[in-house]
Amino acid sequence: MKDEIPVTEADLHAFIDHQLSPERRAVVTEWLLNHPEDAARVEQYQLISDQLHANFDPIADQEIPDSLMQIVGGLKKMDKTPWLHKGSIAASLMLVGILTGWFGNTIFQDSDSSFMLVNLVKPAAFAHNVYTSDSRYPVEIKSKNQSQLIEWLSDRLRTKIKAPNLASMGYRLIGGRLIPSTNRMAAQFMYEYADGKKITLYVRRVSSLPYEKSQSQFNQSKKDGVHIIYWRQGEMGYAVSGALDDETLNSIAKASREQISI
Amino acid sequence: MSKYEKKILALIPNLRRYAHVLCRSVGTIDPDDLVQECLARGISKFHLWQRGTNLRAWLFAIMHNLYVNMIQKSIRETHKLSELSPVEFETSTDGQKCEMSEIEEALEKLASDQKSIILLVTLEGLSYQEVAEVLDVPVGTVMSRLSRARQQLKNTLFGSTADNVRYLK
Repeated sequence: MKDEIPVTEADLHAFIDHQLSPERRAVVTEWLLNHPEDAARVEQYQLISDQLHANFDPIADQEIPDSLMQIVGGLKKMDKTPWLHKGSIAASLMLVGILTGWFGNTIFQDSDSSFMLVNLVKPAAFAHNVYTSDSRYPVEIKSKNQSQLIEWLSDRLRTKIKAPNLASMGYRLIGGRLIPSTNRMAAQFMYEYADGKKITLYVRRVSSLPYEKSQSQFNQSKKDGVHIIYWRQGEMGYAVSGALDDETLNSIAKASREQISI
Repeated sequence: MSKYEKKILALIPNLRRYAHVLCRSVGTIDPDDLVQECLARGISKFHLWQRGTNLRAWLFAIMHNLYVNMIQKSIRETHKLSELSPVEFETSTDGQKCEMSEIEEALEKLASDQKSIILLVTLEGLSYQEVAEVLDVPVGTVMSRLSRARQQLKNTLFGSTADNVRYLK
């Protein structure tokens, strides 16, 4: 046997992990033939790698959830935007962020939008239409049992849920309900104006990551005459829906966000 | 579908697997939320990714940093979490934390950086250089931690023998 550069501990690992050049691999293979202790150890390490694969490969083999596919779809929109331009938008958003004290929140903007549309905005709009048009049972629990309602919803959503007080804007809480959403549960609160016009606030968890108290800015969407303003705060997403003009709904959303974020 | 979209989609199974294993030790986090946030950040910061550099290492680095921040955050807020106990997801009640295989238990005994390294190397097939980029440490550090991680897993799984690990320079 020729005198070779001695085989190191690093070589043994690189051998297991297929990170050696063919030449070096041949050297290590030969080394192992003559060093049974190292060979036994390499075999055990190999066994560990096999066990890890056997144990965790099924996760990689699962079907990818739609919610994750949708986020990647967001890249398409951005691909069409020239990068330089994109960068300058980000920079100016950042500046606005600094000026308005929302620094760090713009990050959620683009990336979240497709996820938020599918999992928050659309279900919120649908639930709004379904229950505001129901003259018999618009809510599951009425506002006269408000504390019971809040306690129940907080319990089911496993976080403290608040129903903002919108009386100063003329909207009185009628009550609320629990609703199954796309992959989580949601709560809906319904409010009514003196003329019978209704708005709803839809709340659900949009992530389980324990975030800073980060807040996204308001986004809006209009569908079938319903106007929706939505935002994210930490793990939770909020959507206010109503057939109202921009200004009125905006002030309702602002008041809601203020009260919720306390 | 754009070229990069395809590349990112192809990495999702790996990101999910890594997130699932990481989140086993943090019972309150839905691993797909970690993947979701990783993808969201990756896409919103995609213009910062340098063409020609390693997309895989870049995405794993985002996930790793999110995970580290998350752990620090949940340590800071332990009191807050306990307030909401029992903390579980509304939709997952299968108690997957209860039954761990032998290898999973052995993994849980590793220091978190050792665990990350062994997962990234053996499961995700990252090169040592890529792992160094993900964890932002020198390659030599990756190698010594990998060696220690394997040694410890071996001891846990097969019992400790008089070891003759040759230490790395």
